[in-house]
Amino acid sequence: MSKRVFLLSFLILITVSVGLSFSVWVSWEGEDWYRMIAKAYTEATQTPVEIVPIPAPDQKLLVALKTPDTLPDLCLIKSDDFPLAATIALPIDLPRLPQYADRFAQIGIQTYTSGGALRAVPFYADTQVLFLQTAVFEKYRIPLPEPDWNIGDFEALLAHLRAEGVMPIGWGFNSPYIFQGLQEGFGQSFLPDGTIRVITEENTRLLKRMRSWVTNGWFKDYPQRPGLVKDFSAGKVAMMPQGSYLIPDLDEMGVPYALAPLPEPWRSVIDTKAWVIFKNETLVYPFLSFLFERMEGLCATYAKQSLIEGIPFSGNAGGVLERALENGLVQPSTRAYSEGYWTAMKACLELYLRGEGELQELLSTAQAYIDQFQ
Amino acid sequence: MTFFLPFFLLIAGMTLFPAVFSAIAGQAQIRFDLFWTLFQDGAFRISAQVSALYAFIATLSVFFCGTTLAYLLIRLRRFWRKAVALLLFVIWALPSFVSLPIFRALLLNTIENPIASEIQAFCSILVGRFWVDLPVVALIALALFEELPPSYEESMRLEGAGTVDRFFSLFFQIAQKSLVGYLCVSFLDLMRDVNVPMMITEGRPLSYAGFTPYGIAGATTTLGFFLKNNLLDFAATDSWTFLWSQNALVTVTLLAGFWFLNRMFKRPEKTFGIWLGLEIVWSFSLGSLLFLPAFFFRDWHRRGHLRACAIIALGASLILRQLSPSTVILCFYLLFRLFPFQRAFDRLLFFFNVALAVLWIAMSGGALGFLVWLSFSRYRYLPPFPGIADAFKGLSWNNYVYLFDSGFLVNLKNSLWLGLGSGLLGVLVFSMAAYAALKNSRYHTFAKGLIGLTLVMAGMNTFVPLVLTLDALGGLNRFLPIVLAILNQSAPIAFMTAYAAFRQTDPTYAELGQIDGASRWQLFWKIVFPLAFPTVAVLFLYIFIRGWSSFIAPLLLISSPEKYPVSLRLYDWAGNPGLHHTRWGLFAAGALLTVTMMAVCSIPLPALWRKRWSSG
Repeated sequence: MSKRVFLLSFLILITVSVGLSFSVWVSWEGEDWYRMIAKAYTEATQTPVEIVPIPAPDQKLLVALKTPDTLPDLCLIKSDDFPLAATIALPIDLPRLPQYADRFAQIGIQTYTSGGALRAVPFYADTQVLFLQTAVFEKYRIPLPEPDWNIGDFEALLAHLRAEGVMPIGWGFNSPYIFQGLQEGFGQSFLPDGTIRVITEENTRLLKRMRSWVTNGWFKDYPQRPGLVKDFSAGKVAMMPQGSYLIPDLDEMGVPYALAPLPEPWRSVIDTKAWVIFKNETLVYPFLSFLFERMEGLCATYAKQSLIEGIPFSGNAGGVLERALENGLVQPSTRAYSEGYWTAMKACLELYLRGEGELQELLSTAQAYIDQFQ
Repeated sequence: MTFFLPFFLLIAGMTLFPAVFSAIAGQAQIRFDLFWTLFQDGAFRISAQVSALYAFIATLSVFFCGTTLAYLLIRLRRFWRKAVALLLFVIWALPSFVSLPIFRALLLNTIENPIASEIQAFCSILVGRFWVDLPVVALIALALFEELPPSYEESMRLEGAGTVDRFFSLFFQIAQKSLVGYLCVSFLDLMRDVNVPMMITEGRPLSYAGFTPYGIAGATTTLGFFLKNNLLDFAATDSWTFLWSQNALVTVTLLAGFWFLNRMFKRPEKTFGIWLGLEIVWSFSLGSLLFLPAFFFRDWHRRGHLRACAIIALGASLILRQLSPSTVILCFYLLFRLFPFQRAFDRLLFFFNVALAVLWIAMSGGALGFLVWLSFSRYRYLPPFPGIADAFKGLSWNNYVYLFDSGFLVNLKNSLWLGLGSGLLGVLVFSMAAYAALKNSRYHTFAKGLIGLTLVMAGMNTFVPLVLTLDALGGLNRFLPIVLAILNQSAPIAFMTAYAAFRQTDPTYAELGQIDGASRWQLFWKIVFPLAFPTVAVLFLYIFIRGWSSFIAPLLLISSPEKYPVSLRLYDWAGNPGLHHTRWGLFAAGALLTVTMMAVCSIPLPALWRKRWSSG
């Protein structure tokens, strides 16, 4: 009899503990931080949380979403992955996050709403800012730009730096990540109904303007980020528009730099991350609350901006980042954007800025490519 | 049949079933109009041509240089031979997600912009591939040359043959005969290569003609990279028919390439006509038109005419910049077959390869030194080469401490299981299949067909049905399916290598065994297998390393961090192509631990095994 009772208790214990545990897929920065939070949560609630770092989230999600049984309970995604994830994700029940329900930034809510329902819990954002190599500016006694500068001031600065013999600015020619902020500042390609129209007068003028930056020797192509960061660190290039995620790296490398907002009307692209719930809602919501309570540590270590109001950015660049976030452009979370626009504009930008091909033809091909997804 | 069955089941389960499942479940429709549109598509054509040229030059340069290096090694003193062999092994053992970031770091610290021009970008991926692929060919060739009785070379030397003559008349011929299968497979593998273009150039610089609504291609876009991009883009939509058509087109192209290569080795004079036909259908460039007169002199006895036509056509094509990659391939071939001053050409080729081999050794030494230095540094971002004065500043053991604290040993243990499991099972399955194919030519033909299918069908597209099936069978988060996936990916080269090794063995011993009444299993296990041991040991290492460094299969089939192999940890620290959140110090420390562990585990194994066989 006692053996049976023991066996039964053991089985119940196993069932309960397995039933109470859940898994969380995380990617990008902060693996150690997530583990620390999971450990603290397990100690506090006796609910085991398995943190699974996913090295190549795009490929993993692509396959896992077609085989739903393999999905975790909770998963951190970027906005590009949202259109796919939203088809399976559970709708978010905000009242189950009572302390945070009305504190999520509007850009987060907009990005992760699909079919009229919120399908992911907004978490944090990286914003685009202009990194200035202060050693270069000091050497040539050029004042740093004012916070309210515009594209005219920007072009004057490019010319000034070039006249001093420095490469004024650099990024990858083929970067839609940088281009779309300019595109949406000078015109509108991401239409309110969700469609994307790249073959516009504004884009034609903008691309010609960018091409003139190249031919004037103001703007250099850096196909890969390491080359750009290396030259920026060495003072060979004076400015680079990049995501705020680069701040900890530059700090650690001891590079002298300052941050400036992008010149008007250039808009800063906001790259957001959010939590998607696939299973086990009951267990997951308390964990999310626990995580949000401690989120300030993640933001401070990795220069992230929380998408929850009231969680401050503790770094010294907070003012510039706040401004960038306010004037920011949220990346559309549609298939036409993540699969069509991104790929097509990469090719279009690279070819045109390298001086190959007719602009109108390139834009037409890009539009045709994007149209397959919308 | 018993010997061949495991091989058949492996390919059927891991390639054929998922591919058929994929086509049926996706409800793909056959649309010939779409097929024709895609065939005419500029992006597809450019990627096919780039792939062919890339695969051809990389395969040949690796083969020529690898055999030359092996020839040089057997002439070196024991110490130097061991040292260079160790270097070869270490570079071979570096998983591609380690070796390619290191290569990329060297490249970015040497050249300002690797994709500044099309030629520079193409050369960058070629050099990367060459650096990664040379060791395996050199080690296989070394194993082959070590088996050769010294009397052969000695008798040639007594007849007055010089070093270069002995190489081309004896060693090169042996390597060519044994490695033909490997070369064909390697050619197709490179046509589907994803890693090198993805990590080094991202398929750039793009070409204007290669930017179409159906895809995007440029000077370094291989077919594999092209398909991968489209798979990620279009798989998200409902375009299964489109994907299926594009896959089918690529499959047909690869199969045609495989068949063409096989034929080129067997009946080159017939291949010329086929090439011309394909060239005219495919691109109809001026280069191919100018080659047209040469077609009338394709009779190999009238080499002078053919040579003259080829030289005129090549010269004119180069001047007019109207040269398609397949024309370049043909020119290479004609140059090798018909060059008028054969002796001078051989010497030129030999010393060119010696120079390449020396360059490879210098580059590998530099890369390893950089890796060791990085492992003690605290760099998160890619640093420039250190100067001598500041190289030793700020070095510490912190990276290694972090690795031990963060459970990296568990990852090493998992990789070890995957490597050993794949290596042992692979040697058994492929050796048995190769033995069966040697005994029965029908099995050989059948195996070649299966290998062809594996080469062209297995890829990301077969993983979705595989994951679905394994999920239904409760096979996820286990090592065995990963081992099987690795064996499936290794099948082409592994089978070819095993087959070549068994074919080289002296049949007398097996015949004597048969007379003595040994069973088929005894003949295989006690006679044929030990006789082919050096090559089988290389085969074991090949599969072991693939198992150890596998990435995609564990990524998709494992979702439990306790079962992660090292590849999944290291990838995130520097292998990630986007290079967003790198931690180079940790990456280098992890990579060095990985290679050290692999060397410790794998180098003594063949030696122990050899001892067991020689004493038995």
